[in-house]
Amino acid sequence: MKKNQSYFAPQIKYGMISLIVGIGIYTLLTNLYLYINVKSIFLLSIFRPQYLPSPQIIWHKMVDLCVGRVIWQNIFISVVRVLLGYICGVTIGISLGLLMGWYKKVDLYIDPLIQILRPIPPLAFVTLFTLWFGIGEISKILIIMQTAAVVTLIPAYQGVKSVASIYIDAARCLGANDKLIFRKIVLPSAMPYIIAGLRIALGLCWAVIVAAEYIASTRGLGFQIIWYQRLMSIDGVIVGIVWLGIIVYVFDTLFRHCIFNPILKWME
Amino acid sequence: MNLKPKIIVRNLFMSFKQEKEIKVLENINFEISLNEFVSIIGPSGCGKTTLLRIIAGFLKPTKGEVICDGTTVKGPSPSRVVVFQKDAVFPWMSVRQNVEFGLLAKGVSQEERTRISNYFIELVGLKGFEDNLPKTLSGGMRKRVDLARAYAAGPEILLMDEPFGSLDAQTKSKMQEELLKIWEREKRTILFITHDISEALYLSDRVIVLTSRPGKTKKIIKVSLPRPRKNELKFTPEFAELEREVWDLIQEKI
Ligand SMILES: Nc1ncnc2c1ncn2[C@@H]1O[C@H](COP(=O)(O)OP(=O)(O)O)[C@@H](O)[C@H]1O
Ligand SMILES: [Mg+2]
Repeated sequence: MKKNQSYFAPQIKYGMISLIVGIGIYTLLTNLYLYINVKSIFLLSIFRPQYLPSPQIIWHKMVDLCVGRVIWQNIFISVVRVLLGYICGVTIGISLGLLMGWYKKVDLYIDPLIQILRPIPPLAFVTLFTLWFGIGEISKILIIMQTAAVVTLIPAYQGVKSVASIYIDAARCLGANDKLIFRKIVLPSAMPYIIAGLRIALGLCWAVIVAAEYIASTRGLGFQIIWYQRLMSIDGVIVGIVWLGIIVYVFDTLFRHCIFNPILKWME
Repeated sequence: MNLKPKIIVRNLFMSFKQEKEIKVLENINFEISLNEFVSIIGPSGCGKTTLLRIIAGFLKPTKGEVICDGTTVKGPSPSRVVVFQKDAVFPWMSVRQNVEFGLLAKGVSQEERTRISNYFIELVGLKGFEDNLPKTLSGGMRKRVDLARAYAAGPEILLMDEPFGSLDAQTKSKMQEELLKIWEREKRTILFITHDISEALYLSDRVIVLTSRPGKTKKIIKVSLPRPRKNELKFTPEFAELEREVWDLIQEKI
């Protein structure tokens, strides 16, 4: 841990510098437009508040929205959709992947279905699910479930397939039966793969829910962003995007520190 | 000893079928008595690992049989535990969980598991490291975990496949001495595979010398050096003479 810190320290330092400089220049340019009459300079005209609002305007909008209830409701709805769909989806995906990796028969039966389903982008199903289940929660949760399941299945399968045979041999000659070998050897050994899948799935589920809410929804953070777009409210759209960034970041960090890292603490 | 032998390897042949048939073992015959320490030595690739895997029950021989305690070996069993050449300590388990694994498989109660694992962890000199993960241990310490784990499963026979092959010279001779000390306290029938002549002679009651592939039993050498043996034994003239003898045997026909 300590070693990592000193290793990343310069990266953080340079990152902060470029971040501050970037925001500084952006603030300068957007304010130049506001306070000085430079409309004649063509290049500066893109820093009009209608296109690129200044940080103060975005901050104002952010505070404005935080006071109200709507943004919180929409965030809550999106979070619930992702969490429910993700939990159900990864449970299905990982279980199937593990079963397929462990039982040859299951693999033979299910693999063709997976191969058909896999190349289809999950978002392609939004329209179908909306027609079947309406615009409400079921179709959203299903689309997230499907995304999470497809993305986690293959790593789980590969995780089982890549268990070093020496561990299985060792366990077997120590007297372990198949059930114990699966629980104590195969599962932990496949964990790095499973968790890589879980992380990718989490990011992808957020991407998919926002797109799904853009396409067919009356609630959720994605819907709120598209709503501001319809109102031509650029600051609203940006605030929505900022919120998304914050939420996905928080999710990823929480999952990593509270679930993924503790499980993988045995790794080098 | 006029007891019935613990392990009998009888008329054993083994070949692998790839594009061509590779003969690996040819007519291997030997017997090992109860609590005897026997080494198998032979050039790399002569089929030592294959022979061990057959005795362990992981492989079926093409011809012949292995008999342990009067019954033919049909598959792996916790009465014949293998210590592998490669590091086989489960990296996701603590030292204690590793050592208790064989007991867990047997369905031994938690209390009893703790008692037995404590004993063997102390025996291999890892007291105080019970909760360590393998990644925090050195190569030599991991081998100790492997040994303790093998012992704790309660086998009558230990099959060791070049267990110290990957260790540096110093750790290796330390581990050899330790292994003998452990074996003096907890006698088991040990079949030890190595390509290191001095290691084989230092540890064993008898050394089985195999020819290069296909492996045949070339000679079985009795090592009557007194026990308990200390590392200094390796520097005595008697030891050097034995070493010379085995060396010549292996050189004879390549
Ligand atoms: N599963 C296998 N399939 C084909 N050939 C094998 C297999 N296992 C071992 N061999 C061959 O058998 C020979 C003996 O291997 P091994 O028993 O590992 O030798 P050693 O342990 O003495 O170095 C080698 O030439 C190896 O290529
Ligand atoms: Mg070998």
